[in-house]
Amino acid sequence: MRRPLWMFMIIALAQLAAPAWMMWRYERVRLHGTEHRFRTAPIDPRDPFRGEHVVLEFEAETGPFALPEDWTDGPLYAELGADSAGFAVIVRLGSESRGGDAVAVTVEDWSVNADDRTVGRVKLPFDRYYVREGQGPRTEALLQPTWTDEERVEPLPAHAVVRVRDGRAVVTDLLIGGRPLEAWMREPS
Amino acid sequence: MSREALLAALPDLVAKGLITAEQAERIRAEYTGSVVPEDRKGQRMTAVLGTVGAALIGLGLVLLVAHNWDGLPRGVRALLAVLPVLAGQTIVAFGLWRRPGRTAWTEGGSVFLAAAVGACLAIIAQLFHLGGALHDFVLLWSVLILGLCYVPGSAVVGLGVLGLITWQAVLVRMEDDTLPWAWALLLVAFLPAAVRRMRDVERRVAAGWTGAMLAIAIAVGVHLFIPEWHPVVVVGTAALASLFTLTPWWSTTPAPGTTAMRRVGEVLLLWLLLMLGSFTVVDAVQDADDRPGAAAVVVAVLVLSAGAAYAWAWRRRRPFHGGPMPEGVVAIGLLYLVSLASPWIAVVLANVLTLALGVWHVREGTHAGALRRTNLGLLLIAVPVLWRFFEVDLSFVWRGLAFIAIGIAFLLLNLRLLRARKRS
Repeated sequence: MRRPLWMFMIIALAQLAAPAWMMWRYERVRLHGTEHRFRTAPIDPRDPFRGEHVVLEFEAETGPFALPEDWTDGPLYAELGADSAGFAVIVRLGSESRGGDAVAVTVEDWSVNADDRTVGRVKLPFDRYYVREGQGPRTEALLQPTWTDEERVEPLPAHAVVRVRDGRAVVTDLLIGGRPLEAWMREPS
Repeated sequence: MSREALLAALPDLVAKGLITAEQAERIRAEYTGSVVPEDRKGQRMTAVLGTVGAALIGLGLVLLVAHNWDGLPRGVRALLAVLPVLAGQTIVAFGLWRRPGRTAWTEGGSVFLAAAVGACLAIIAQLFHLGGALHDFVLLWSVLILGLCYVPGSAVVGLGVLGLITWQAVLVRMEDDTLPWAWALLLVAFLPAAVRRMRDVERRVAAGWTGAMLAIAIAVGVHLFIPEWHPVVVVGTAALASLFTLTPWWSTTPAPGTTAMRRVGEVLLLWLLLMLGSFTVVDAVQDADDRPGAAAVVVAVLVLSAGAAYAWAWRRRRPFHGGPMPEGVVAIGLLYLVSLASPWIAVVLANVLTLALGVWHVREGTHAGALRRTNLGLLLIAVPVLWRFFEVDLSFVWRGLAFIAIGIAFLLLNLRLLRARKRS
């Protein structure tokens, strides 16, 4: 067999291995990860390649959280727990991964308070939920407050179901008013 | 004159307007024996059509994926992610095995495979609702398709990689405000393939595009390493542009891709000259009273690189040989220094220099009967004149008369040249 063909087979293997590894890694989290429910408020942007999605912002991302003693820069690991209603919260930030239910978070630099060594806001490693083309605006409409006779009607509460395992996280569902988004989208608009 | 010396002198002869690019091409074909037979022309057409077809199918695939077919079972979607990649790999492998050297198979298969890899990554992101910035996605995509620039050696995928890594660098700089080191690494990884492509005399069009895109990618990427913009950056940009204009003199026989790099450098230098001739821009230069800081380091590196490139080209080129553009960095540097002391003198000098360049191009172009060159000269005269007319407060009558005068000059010169061509 020609040498270029062998070289191409190595390239081809890498092209297949990278997606296969990604799928295996995240599928394991999706199937066997611990489930957490994050309160969220989505908005709907687009991505030129990956399509329409809703960007998720989580209440759990807002602190203040105490910064680890040795932290100066870079990501931190957030240990997850649950509040009295069962929704996910960040219990503690650490500078090293302890595996399990800790996920890597990015510190929002502008919210760091150097005096008392706290951070006001961090970013969780999952921030989007992909939807079928055209469903983004409908999802957003479901989550916007509405007005009836000059009275503001609050939107239904929304939360994302996230599976976490070995420091990795996968969003498995988006629930609005306790119903999966899919169920809402099956209804005629 | 030896054959090598004649071939080496061709770009100069074209630059001076003594012969046209087509004539140079025919001379080169005659002396290198690379006359294109009819069946090769047919193959080229097949290659172009094959590449365009594969690119359209690939882009269609990416758009189909963007719809997000969430109604399909997860297993089916995972399979749909991998199947196009496997199909693309099969096409490329078959081309390498059974049709080696056929551009249609190399380019068509590679372009389709590159698009399929992007679509595959997009489906995985949808399947697991993966977050992350767009630049991370673009980076992974570039890394996975970079190998196709080497085996089977696709020029079109190479252009795609250059575009993707530069886009990624811009996104990293704009969104994360960090330096695009991944761009630098990927560019270094791509350079051997780019150099090989730029030297390919069999595929001059691909070589030209690679040279031009490489120059644009480097120009954009290097500027993203400047922490904060400062007017001194114009000197760095001029140094980089001068470096590009020198590339044809780096080897005995100029590589086809270097001519395109030279053109990008020339356009960049002319643009800088026009900018320095603007009252608004030079005012802004003088207003910037802060020290250049880290920007000066980048500029120093670029100036030193241009100096090294000049020294390297010295064996084959003496000052102003083949045109004055490689020396352009000196002119821009001096204009910048003058603008610090007296902005108005700098503006006047820049405009005089632009007009002189324009007149020189018109003169050389009319002597050689080269339409393109004559029009470039006219453009160099017209643009600063019109630009200045908009910067100063003149009535519509004067502006209108200026437009009409320049328009008539364009028409008359072109008519004269066309008549001269017909007579000869």
